[in-house]
Amino acid sequence: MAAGSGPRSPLNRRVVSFGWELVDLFNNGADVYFPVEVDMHLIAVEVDIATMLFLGPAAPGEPLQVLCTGAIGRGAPPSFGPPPKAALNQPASSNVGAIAVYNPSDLDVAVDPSTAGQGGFLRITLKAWSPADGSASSVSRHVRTTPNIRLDRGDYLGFHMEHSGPLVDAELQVVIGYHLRAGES
Amino acid sequence: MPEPIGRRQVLGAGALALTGMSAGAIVGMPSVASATTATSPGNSQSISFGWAVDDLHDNGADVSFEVLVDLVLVAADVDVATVVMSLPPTAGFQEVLCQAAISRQAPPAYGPAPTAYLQSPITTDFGKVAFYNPSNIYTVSDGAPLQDKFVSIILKSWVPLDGTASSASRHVHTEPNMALQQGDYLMFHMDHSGVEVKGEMQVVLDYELGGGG
Repeated sequence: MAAGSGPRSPLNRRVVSFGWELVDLFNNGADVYFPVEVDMHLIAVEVDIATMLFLGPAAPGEPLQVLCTGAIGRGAPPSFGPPPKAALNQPASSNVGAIAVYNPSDLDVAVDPSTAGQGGFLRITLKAWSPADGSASSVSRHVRTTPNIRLDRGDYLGFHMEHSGPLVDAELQVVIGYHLRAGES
Repeated sequence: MPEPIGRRQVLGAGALALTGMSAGAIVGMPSVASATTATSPGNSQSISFGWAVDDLHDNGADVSFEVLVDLVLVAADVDVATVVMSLPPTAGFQEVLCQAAISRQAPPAYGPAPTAYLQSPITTDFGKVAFYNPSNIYTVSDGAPLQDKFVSIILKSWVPLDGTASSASRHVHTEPNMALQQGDYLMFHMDHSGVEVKGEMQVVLDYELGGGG
């Protein structure tokens, strides 16, 4: 337990929350983002994400997938990839090298991005089989991550969801824990 | 449908206030209990309570209680679950939003019925939410991050005609580590859309006495 009245004391801890729902995700994607208005340390990000059939199953059986990512835009709004996925772009990290694949059995392997993206703090992939009556096709996750990253005023936080498979509703609920840096050396 | 109730209804001995659309079906579980003594390591204490709404159906409700001493809210464990109580007339989705927040120095405020959302203030530490939505996907979102909301869980599932695997649940442990003052309130919310379900929330709060200063 932190004590005293310094920047890291409970007196200076704050939380905010927001939610974002995509009602008719269907082989496409979208993004939300918002600016940081005060210098802070991003201590924790808790994401609750769930997806479900919205109109019912459309085929005798097919897989559904939703990818969710979160990243920091440094000093500017994030940029995005082309539709329909509209991925949240992240600059390739200069601190690590390109991702190498060893694939002696010639498996169908996809790696994205080819170099780990700088500022990424969240990646979740939801997958489920949707049978003819939709039973057990919903999928969800609750993730608590503790980035402990310094954010400056003018940085941005961005979140992305994209999908493939039968039409679904997907929703992201986010709680952000932080403390202000004012008074911190 | 159950009869609507007044905006605030006190359960038990006045420790737990409850607001919502379906009071006849809301079950409070007044198990609020202090679990430690003054000799506990670090003066840590815990309390717990539960509440259930038996017939959530495109509406919502809230419970709240007052903080009577300065404390640091160290951790919160929230367990939420939903279940259909009878076979649905048609297949469809069910979703329940579960949230917890702090109301600073005032009793909680709630949005209008039927959803009766918690009314948390818009933060000044972050700006408004913007969207990139080139495929014009139907979107619902908060317009900006909201201050002092420390739990937000979304349960979703598809309910087939025979109800197979239609329940949804989550257990969330979070560590706000935030100072609360005497006169603040803790408030909890559930709202729903889709096939009628029962929703239940069980809460354990860990805290230390004192203001953290």
